[in-house]
Amino acid sequence: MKHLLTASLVALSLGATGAHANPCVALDFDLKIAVQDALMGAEDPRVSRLAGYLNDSFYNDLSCRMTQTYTGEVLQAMLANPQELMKAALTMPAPRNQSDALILILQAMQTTVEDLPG
Amino acid sequence: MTLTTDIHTLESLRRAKTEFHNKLCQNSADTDPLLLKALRSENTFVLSEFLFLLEAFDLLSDPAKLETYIDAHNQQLQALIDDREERRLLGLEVPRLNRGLFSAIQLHKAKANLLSATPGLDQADIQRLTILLFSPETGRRVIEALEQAGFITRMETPYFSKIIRSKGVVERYFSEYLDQIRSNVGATTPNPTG
Repeated sequence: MKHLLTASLVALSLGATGAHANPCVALDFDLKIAVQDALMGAEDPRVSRLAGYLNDSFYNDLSCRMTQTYTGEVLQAMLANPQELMKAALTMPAPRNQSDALILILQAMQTTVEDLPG
Repeated sequence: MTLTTDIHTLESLRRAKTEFHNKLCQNSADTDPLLLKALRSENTFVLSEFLFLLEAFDLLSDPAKLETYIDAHNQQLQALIDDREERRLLGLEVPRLNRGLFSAIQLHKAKANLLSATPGLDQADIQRLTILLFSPETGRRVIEALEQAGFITRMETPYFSKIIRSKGVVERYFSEYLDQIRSNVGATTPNPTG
């Protein structure tokens, strides 16, 4: 369930911020397919079912961010281990959450005043 | 609350935001298509919200207020550095957060910049204060877009600073955006007793 939730959150947040994601210099097509296969072949039907709904840009962006997070050696090792690959894909940090960040900034600014300016 | 009211509220929010971007583009000093595209971006909207808040809290009028804000900012960043789960929720990494922390000297310089003949925030300080929102590089690009559009000025100092001074236009458009939402949504909110 935790994995399902993570995947859902990643998918939703990608929809909102995908346009601002860092571009990959060269997309690792093999990695993208391997991640897609790993997620769609997950034992948990809730994960595999959701994985089937996710579009190409989701897998492009996810594999892009994985190449920016892991070394080539680690990724190669993961390609031979779908379980590890799936775990790594599902635990990738989500794209930046600007809405929550703006709330934090607002809270920091509120420390400067006892009462809000009128 | 009916579904129609919800849809109308959502439409009001979207229209107000579009109107905000329209004003930026229509009043831009430069009509370069790439600039207009940047002015319509979410990052421009987010930085505008930040500039609006700076003005609304009057943080650039008093070095002591700015210091209180920067102290709170540093505490927030340190809390995120110490809390892996919170960091993940915000999609941030420790090296990025470290770049947003103000040192004692940087804090002192930020306060001193407010007391100069041309008071304002150094671009590097804005990049630190918005580190939760975007990378310093992205922050610089948005600032440059606002400068190209004529909404802010950047002045280079002999001390390798770039002092940012807003002309107040972006803040006014953001205030009008909030006002538009308030009036549109208020007009559709049913009377609680009705």
